[in-house]
Parts: sequence; structure tokens; C-alpha cells
Amino acid sequence: MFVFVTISVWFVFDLVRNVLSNEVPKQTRYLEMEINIKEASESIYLYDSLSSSVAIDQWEENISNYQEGRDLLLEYELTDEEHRIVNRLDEVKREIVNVGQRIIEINQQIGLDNNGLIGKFRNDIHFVEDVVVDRVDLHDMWLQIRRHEKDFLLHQDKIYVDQVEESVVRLRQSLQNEEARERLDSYLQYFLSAADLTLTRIELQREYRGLIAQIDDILDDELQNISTSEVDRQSQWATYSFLAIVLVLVLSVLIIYQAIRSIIDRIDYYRQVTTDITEGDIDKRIVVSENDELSRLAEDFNEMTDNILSEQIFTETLFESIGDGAIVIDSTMKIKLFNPAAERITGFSEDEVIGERFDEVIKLVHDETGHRNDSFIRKALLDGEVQYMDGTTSLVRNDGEKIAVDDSAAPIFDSNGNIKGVVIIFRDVTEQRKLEENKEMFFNIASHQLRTPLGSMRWNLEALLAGDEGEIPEKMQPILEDVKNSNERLVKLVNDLLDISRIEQGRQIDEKEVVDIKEVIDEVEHQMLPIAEEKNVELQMIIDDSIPQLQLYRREIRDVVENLLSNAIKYSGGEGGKVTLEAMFSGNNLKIQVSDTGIGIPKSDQDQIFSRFYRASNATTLNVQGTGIGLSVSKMFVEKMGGKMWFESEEEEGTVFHVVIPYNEVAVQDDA
Amino acid sequence: MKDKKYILVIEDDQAYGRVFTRKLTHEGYEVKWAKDGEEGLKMIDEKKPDLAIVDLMMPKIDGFGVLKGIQDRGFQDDFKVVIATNLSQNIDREKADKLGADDYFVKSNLSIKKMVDKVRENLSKN
Repeated sequence: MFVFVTISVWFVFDLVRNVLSNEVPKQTRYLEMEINIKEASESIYLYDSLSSSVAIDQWEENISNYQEGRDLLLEYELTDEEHRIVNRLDEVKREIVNVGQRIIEINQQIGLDNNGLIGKFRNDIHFVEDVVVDRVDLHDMWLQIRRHEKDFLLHQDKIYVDQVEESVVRLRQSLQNEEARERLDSYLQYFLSAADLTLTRIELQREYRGLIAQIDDILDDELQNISTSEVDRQSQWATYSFLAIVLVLVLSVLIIYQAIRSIIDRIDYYRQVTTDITEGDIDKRIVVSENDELSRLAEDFNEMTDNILSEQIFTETLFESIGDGAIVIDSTMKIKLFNPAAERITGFSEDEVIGERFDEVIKLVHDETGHRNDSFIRKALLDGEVQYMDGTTSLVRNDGEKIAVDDSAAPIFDSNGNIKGVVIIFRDVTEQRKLEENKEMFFNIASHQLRTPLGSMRWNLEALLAGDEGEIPEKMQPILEDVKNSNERLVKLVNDLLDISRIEQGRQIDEKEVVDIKEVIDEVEHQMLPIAEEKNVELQMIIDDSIPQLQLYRREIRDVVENLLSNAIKYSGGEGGKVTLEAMFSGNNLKIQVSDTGIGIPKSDQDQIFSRFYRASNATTLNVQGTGIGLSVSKMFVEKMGGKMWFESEEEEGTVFHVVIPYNEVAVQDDA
Repeated sequence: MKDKKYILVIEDDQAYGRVFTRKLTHEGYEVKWAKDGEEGLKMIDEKKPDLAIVDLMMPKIDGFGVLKGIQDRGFQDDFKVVIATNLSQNIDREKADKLGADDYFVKSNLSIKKMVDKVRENLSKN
């Protein structure tokens, strides 16, 4: 194959070389010869009008060029036929040179210069002219002679020669002057010679023309043949080289095809291995035999597969080991993974559930109603956020038993951020629930048990102080008041403790109801007025009319307002001072602001103000009772309603508490 | 002269029982006090009150039991029944409501004055 390639390449190169070389084809040589011969003949013909030496030089040059061309031609490889033709050309050319030279000789002889005949008899003409010029009749005759002379020169016909001769004889007879007669004879002599030569020249020219024509014909024929043979030869070369190129191309294509084929075959093999691995033959690897880029790819692939598998095994093991039940579902709710803990809790085995729709196998229901409670899973799938199920969910085992469970559903994202599935974690919390229930029951009972004596105590005190059993001696009043206050504080404390525990358990305390804030604030104001009066604190309520009705926890919001006002009044710093409550609806929020001109909250205490049981360091200076629970509970209440609570304070100057609750959290729903 | 309204207090706590009785008597009502649900229903059978103030957490028959007993007797439209408890769960409130209670309040959250107002309010309801 390599030899073929080399030979074909050589063919191509040779052709190219021929084409590009400076060697002039034979054709051109013949053409040149033809041109030179024709130009040579032109100069012969032009001789009459050109000065002889220029014409002769030209003619000689053309002949010489012709010869050169012919010699160059012999440098080509000529066939026998071509050699014969060249010989013929040589013969003709010899003749041409012969004839040409004779013509040239004649021209020289006739010549217009002083050496030529025509030059020579010019003197005679002048002499005779001078003699006859005086005599009109002679002059006329002389002019006639000259006319005939010119006619001959013009037309070169023998008739005019005879006419000249006759006219000269006649004039001679009329001439008296002896010398004139001699001169006239001399003129006639020269003229006849020149005429004779001229006529000969005509003959020679005719012959010359014939010879030129011969050369022409030979060259024409020859050129035709050469053209054809040149064309043949060139087309032969063209065919050879074309074939050679085609051959080279075909071979190249074959070689390339082979190479590609082998690569593709290997790639196909790699793909096959990949498919096998994907379909489950996880131990299959590419067998590497060569040592090139592809085999390095194969090795990398094998290594990568090993890594992936080991990671996968790790992940699987991980999944299996999770202590809580873990189920992975895809975006169509089909179960993909189901760990041993899930098996234990649900009673189903992995084989039973894999591939099944989640909601057909695992039943999550509401504890009491028995209705489906698994919407949180769908929510995780749709929203892409982790969802926690509420604490009232039970799972129905395969044997029908209900188990209290706590769950979360977390979306699984792929690398593009799309949700691929959900992983659900759940735990048997029966024990926990029981514990919680017990705790709750405990709290309920405890608070009930605490409230009962406190409650009756309160009423008794109130009844006493109202004078139901008669007027209380003045001295006893303050004592009883103190007792009543302590009692009130205890009641509130018990309530708060109960609230805290409920909030922490995530249990709902009360229901939201449609609340007119103005009404609530008025109520609290009414309650606070006596206390404010007592402390000589001015209470100012600024309530905006534009506050809409809101869905709130009435008791809680009331407690918050009461707490804030009560604190403001309490910490107003001794006697005097002003407490302002502003309530407005702006920026789609309910805003309540309670400001006082009291003792303020020291910077050092400000972080802790909302923590349970915390009382600022300067609170005791006022001799004011406070459990310190109020603010933390109030904040919890506000946050439960979706709002925020914060404050600004300067020691000795006062404090401002802010409550902001977004409208959409507490908007009244129109249930039409 | 108007007849005194008869209020039946069904309450197991001694102190509450006494303060209810004292106060409401002071306000001009005729007050009787049953110490548990069973006694309460018995007294209802003897004479229907104008208003019954019923505690929830009681031994033997509790407040719900009393409500049910009243319903069973078909007395629910004959007089007003008010639940006065120190439990404050919504569930209890709902349950009481379903069983025909006309009102529900948490004792320890009300001042005695307010309690009296509630009584008056419920008595004047139709």
C-alpha cells in the first residue's frame, strides 16, 4: 500500500513539474518559426519602401530567429515523421534564403542610392533635363519619357519599358547636343538594366512567396498534428494523474475509515459495558488492552465506576442504618427506598412496597378523625421546602394498628435544582405522645388545682372589700388590698405558666375571633385607669379609626395590651409621668406603641428583657411587684399572631414598646 | 313583688361554693348549693332552678354529666345553664356548648363583680 502511495504521488509530482516548468512546448517552437518566416517575407516586401540596410537586417534577423527555433525544436524528442518534416523545412528554408538573397542583391543593384542603377542614371537625367528645359517640345518629350519611367516603376509592366525605349529613340533624333544624346543613351541603358532586374525581381518574389507558402503549409500541418499529439500526450498525463489522485484519495479514505472504525468499535464496546453496569451487572469493567487516549479513558471510567459504587454502597448502608423510619419517594409518589426501621414501624417489608405509590401503602391519618393527614408530603414535593407534620398524626400499620408518629418530609433536589422526590422520616412517638398527654393533663390539673383556691380567694377578698359583710375598718383595708393584689398576681402567674407550657407544646390555646382592637384597648384602659390615677400617671390613648377588624386571639391581644400598659404605668418612676398608647393601621400592619416617661431599661438589661422571669436591675428600686413573666409571654403571644415586638429605651427617660402585626396574618376571612 | 330567682350552684370546691352562695344571696337571689353532679341533678329534679352554675371537674358526675342529665330530662330549654370552671381548654368549651350550655366562663379570670354581671346577663336571656 505504501508503494502504491509513493508511486501515485510521484506521478502527480511529475505532472505538476511539467506544468509548472519553464519548458516551452513543441507547439510554441513551431509557432515561433512560422512567425519568423512570415516576418522575414514581410521585410522582403517592404524592401521597396524601407532603406535597404534596415530591411536586410530585419530579414536576416528573422531568418536567424527561424533557424534558432528550428534548432531548439531538435532538442525535443521528435518522431521519425517529425524529423522528415524538419528536413523538408530545412530544404525550403535554404531555397528561401537563396531566393531572398538574390532579391536583396537585385534590390541593391537597382537601389536608389548612388551605387544603385537608379541612383546612377540620376546624373544623366539632370544633364538631359538641363539641356531640354529650354525647348518646350523637347522638354515635353522628355517629360513623357519620365512619365513612362514612372509608370513602369509603378506598375512594373513591360509595356512601359517599350514605351520608354521608343520615346527615348524619338527624343534622341531631335537632340542636337552630342553629349545630351550620349547621356540619353546612358540613361536608357541604366533604365533598361534596372527594368530588367526589376522584372526578374518580380519573378523571384513570386518564387519567394511560393516558398514561404510551402513552409507555412508544412508548419500548419505539423502544428495540427502536434496539437493533437500534444493534446493526446497531455490528456494521457491528465488521465494518469487523475487516476493517481483518485487512487490516493481512495486509499486515504480507506485508511481513515479503518482508523475510525476501530475507534468506534472500541467506543461501542465501552458503551456496552456502561449499559451492562447500568442494567445491574455492577462488577463489570472495561478490559483495557491498548495504550492510547481511549484506553486511558477506559481506565478512568473503571476507576470512576468503582468510586461511584463504593459511595453508593456507603449511602445505602447509611440509609439502612438510620434509626428512624426513612422512606424515599420519587416525584410520582412511588416508593424508591424503604429502610429497615420503616419496615419495623409500618409492618411492611421492603419488597412489598418498593415501586408502589406511597399513599396506597402507607396510611397517615389524623389521630382522632381518622382522615388522611399526609398532605404535608405533597406540599414538600410541590413547594420544595421541608414540611413537618403536625402532632396529631398516626400511622396505620399493615395489621391495622395505629401508631402515633412524628414526621418530616424533605424534598430531594437534583443538580439542576429540580425536585426529584421526597425523603420522609418518621418515628414511633407513642411513648412521647403519652408523655405529652400526661404532661398536658398534669398542667391542666395543676393549673386547675392552683386556680381553684386562688380564684375563690380572689372573690372572697373582692366581696369583703366591696363591703358585702359590712364596712371594713380603715386600718384593715390596705392589708386586704395587699392580699388581693398578691392573689391577683398569683392568678396571673398561673395563667402565664399554663400559657407558656401550652405554647411550647405547640398546642393551640384559644381560637381566633374577630376582634375590634379599639374595643379591647378601651376595656384595658378602663381597667388601668384607677391604677394610673393612683400613681398620678396620665394615660393617653390615641387610636386610629382606620384599623379594620382583625382575626386575633382576643384574650392574648388583651393580655399584651394590658401587660404593656401595666408595665408602662408601673415603671413610670414614682409620681407623675405620662403613658401614651398609640394604635394605628399602616403599611398593611397593625401597630401598637406604648410609651412612657419612666425609669427606662438600663442598657445592660436590654438583651434579657424578654426572657422569662427577668426583671431589670432598676425595677426593684421602685418597689414594684412584677413576676417578670409578662413580657416573655406577651412576646410569645405577638409572635404567635405572626407579629413582632421590640422596644427602645433610655434610662431615666422612658421606654417605647412596639408591637407590629402584619395584616395578612390576621386578616378577617370572608366566609361567604 | 318579683319572685326571687332561684340559682343552683353545682360545685365541689368548698370555698367557691360558699363564696358563690354568699355573694349571690347578697345580690338578692335564692341560692342552693350541690356538692357534686349527682346531688345537683337530684336537686334539679326536686325543683328546676332559673339558673344553674355548674363546675366541670367534680367527682361522681362531672359538669358534662350534669349537662347530659339535663338534656336527657329534656330540661335544656327550661332554665339557663352556665359552666363555671377553672379549666380553660377550648375543647371543654366546645363540648359544653354542644351539650347545651348557655354560657361558659373561667372563674379565676373573672372578678366577682364580673361573675355577678354574667349571672344577671344569663338570667335575663330568653
